[in-house]
Amino acid sequence: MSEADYNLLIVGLPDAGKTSYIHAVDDLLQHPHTPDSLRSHALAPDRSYLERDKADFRSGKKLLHTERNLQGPVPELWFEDPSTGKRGKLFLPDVSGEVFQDQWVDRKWAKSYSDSLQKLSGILLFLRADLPASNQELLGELAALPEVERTAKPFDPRKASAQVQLVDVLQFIAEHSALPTYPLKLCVMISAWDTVYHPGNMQPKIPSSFLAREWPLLDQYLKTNRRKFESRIFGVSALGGTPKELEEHLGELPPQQRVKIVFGDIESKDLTAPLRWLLGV
Amino acid sequence: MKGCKLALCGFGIDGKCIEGRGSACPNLINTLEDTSDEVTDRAALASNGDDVTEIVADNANTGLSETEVLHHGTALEIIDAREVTSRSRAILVSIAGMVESGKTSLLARFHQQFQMGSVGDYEFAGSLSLMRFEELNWRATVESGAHAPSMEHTSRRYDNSCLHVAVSHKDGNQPHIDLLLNDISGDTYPDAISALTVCENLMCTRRADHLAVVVDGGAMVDRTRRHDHASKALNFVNRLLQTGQIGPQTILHLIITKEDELKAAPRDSACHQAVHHLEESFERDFSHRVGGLHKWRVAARPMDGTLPTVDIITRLFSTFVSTTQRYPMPTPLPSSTVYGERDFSRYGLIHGDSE
Repeated sequence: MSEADYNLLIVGLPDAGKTSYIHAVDDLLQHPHTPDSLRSHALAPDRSYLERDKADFRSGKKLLHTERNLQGPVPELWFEDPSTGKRGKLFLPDVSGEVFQDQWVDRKWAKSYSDSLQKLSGILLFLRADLPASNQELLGELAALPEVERTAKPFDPRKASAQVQLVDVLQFIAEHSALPTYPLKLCVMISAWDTVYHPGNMQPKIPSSFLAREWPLLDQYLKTNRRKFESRIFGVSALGGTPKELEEHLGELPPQQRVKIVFGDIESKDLTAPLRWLLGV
Repeated sequence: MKGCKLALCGFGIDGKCIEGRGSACPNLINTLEDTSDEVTDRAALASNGDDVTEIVADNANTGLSETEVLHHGTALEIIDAREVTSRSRAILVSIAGMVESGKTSLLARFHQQFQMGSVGDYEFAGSLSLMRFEELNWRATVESGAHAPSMEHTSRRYDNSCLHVAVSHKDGNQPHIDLLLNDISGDTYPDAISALTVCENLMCTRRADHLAVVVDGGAMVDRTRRHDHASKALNFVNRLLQTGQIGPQTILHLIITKEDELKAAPRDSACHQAVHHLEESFERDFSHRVGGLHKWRVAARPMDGTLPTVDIITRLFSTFVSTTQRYPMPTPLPSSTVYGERDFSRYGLIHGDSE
C-alpha cells in the first residue's frame, strides 16, 4: 500500500477562514460522507494543536486568532482513499495571516519558509466572500462631498487593498522560491460562502464568476500566469453559517453536516474535494 | 552604509539614486554611522540591481533566523528597469507635466482600473511596484480618512525611475508585456525647459516609446495660468527634440487632464480656444518630427461628482501598450506556440549619445 507525505501551504490574510477549514477537514476525514470519500485511517501521533480549539470549532464558536509565531508540531492528517487504497500524511501548517501580511509590509521572509516551499504539493489560498477586495475610492458623489475637518492618515501598508497584498504574496512565491513543479496547483478558497446566499445579495453564486467580479486583480493574475499556477476556485463554508445562525439553529447539527463547498454550480459537503485535486488522489 | 554627497539625493534615506545610477553612482560616499535600519538596508539592496533575494540576518526579530529580501515593491531604478527591458518586450512611457497637473492621478487610475477588471483587451499579469501604486492611491481612498481625494507630490528622486506593470492580451497567445511608467516630477518639468543639463539628465526619455505631456485642464480654465502652461508644454517637447532625447522613435501624447473643470467652462470661452490652439500647435509643430501624435482629454479623478473617463483612459492605456516605433509589434501566435519565450532583448537604458 503506497503512502506519501503531502505538504500544503495555506495562504491568506488574517481572519480569512484558514483555521476553521483545517478543523472542518479533520472532522470530515473522521466522519466521511460517502463510502468513496477520503477518510482518516489513523490519528497522527501529535494532535495537540488540532485538539486545542476543537471543542470551540465543534460548538460553532469563533476560533482564536492564530498566533504569529506558532510553536509546536504542524497539524498533520492521515488519510486514505478507499477506492485506490492510497494513503498519505497531509501537513497543513496553520500559518498566521499576519505572517503573509508581514511579507507584504517588510518585503522579506524567513529562509526556513522559503526552503519549505521547495516541498510543496499545492496551495490553498483563502479569501473572504463577505469582505471587499479593494479599498473604496473617493469617486463620484464621495469625491464631491462638502469639505469637513478631516486629515488623511499616513499610508499604512497593512491597510492596502487585500487583493493587491495577496497578489504580491503569490508573486513572492512565484519569483523568489524554487518551487518543486510548474505550474503549481492552487485552490482559491472563498470562505464564508454561505453569505453570498443571504437575501438581497446580488453577488455571483458560482465561485469562478465571484472571483472574476469581486476580486478581479487576483483573478487576472491567476489567468495570466497559468505557467506558474494552475488554479481552481471553490466557495467554502467551514462553519456553515454566521455566528448568529450558528447560535440560532445551525449549531444543532454536527460540524460535518453544517459544512458546504461549491465548485462550479455543484454543491456538496465534501471539503476534501480541493485536497483531492491538489494531491491527485 | 552609503549616502550621497548631493544634497538633493535621498540615497542615504531610501536607497534611491537621484540620477538613477543605483549603487554604482560615483557620488556615493560612506557615511560615518552604520545603522541597522532595515528599510534603508532593504532599499539599498534593492537599488543595487543585484540579486534581491540576498540573504540577510534578521536583526529586527530574533537575531537568529535568516531572512531573504524580496522585491521592494516601489519604483524601479534605471538599473532594475534595464533588467526588465532586456528580459522581455517592454514599453517605456515617460509622463511629464506641471506640478498637480494630474500625472500621478493618471498612473493611479491605471492601477485602480485593473483592480476592477481588465483594461481594454489587456489583463493584469503582475507588477513589481504594487506597494508604490497603493501608496500613490492611498489619499484617494475612504480608508485614508481624507475628506477629498488627493495625490502625493512626486519627488524629483523619481525622475529616473519607473513604475512597473505587466499585462497580457486577452487572447492569451502573446507573451506578457512589461510596461514601465516613468513619472517625471512637476518640479523638474520647468527646470528641464530652463536648463539643458536638467533635460539631458532625464534618462528614461531616451528610451521612451511614448512621451506623454500632461497639461492641467484646470489651469487652462484659469486665464492667469493657461498661457504659461500651454507654452511650457510646447517648450518641453521642443527641448527634448533639440537634445535628441525624443524623435521619430517616440510616440507623443498631449493629455489634457481634469476635463471636468474644462467642461464646466462655457464652450465658447477662451479656455476652450486655448486648448484647441494648443492641440493644433502640437499637430503643426511636432507631428512630422515624432513617430506619432495622439491628443487626449481625460478626467482621472473628477471632483464634480462625475465618474472617471474610463473609456478614454482605457484607450490611452491600450495605445501605450500596443504601439511602439522601436520594434515591430508581434502578431498573435498560434495557440500551440509556447509563450513567455524571450523574443526581444534589447534597448537598455543608456545615458548620453552613446545609444
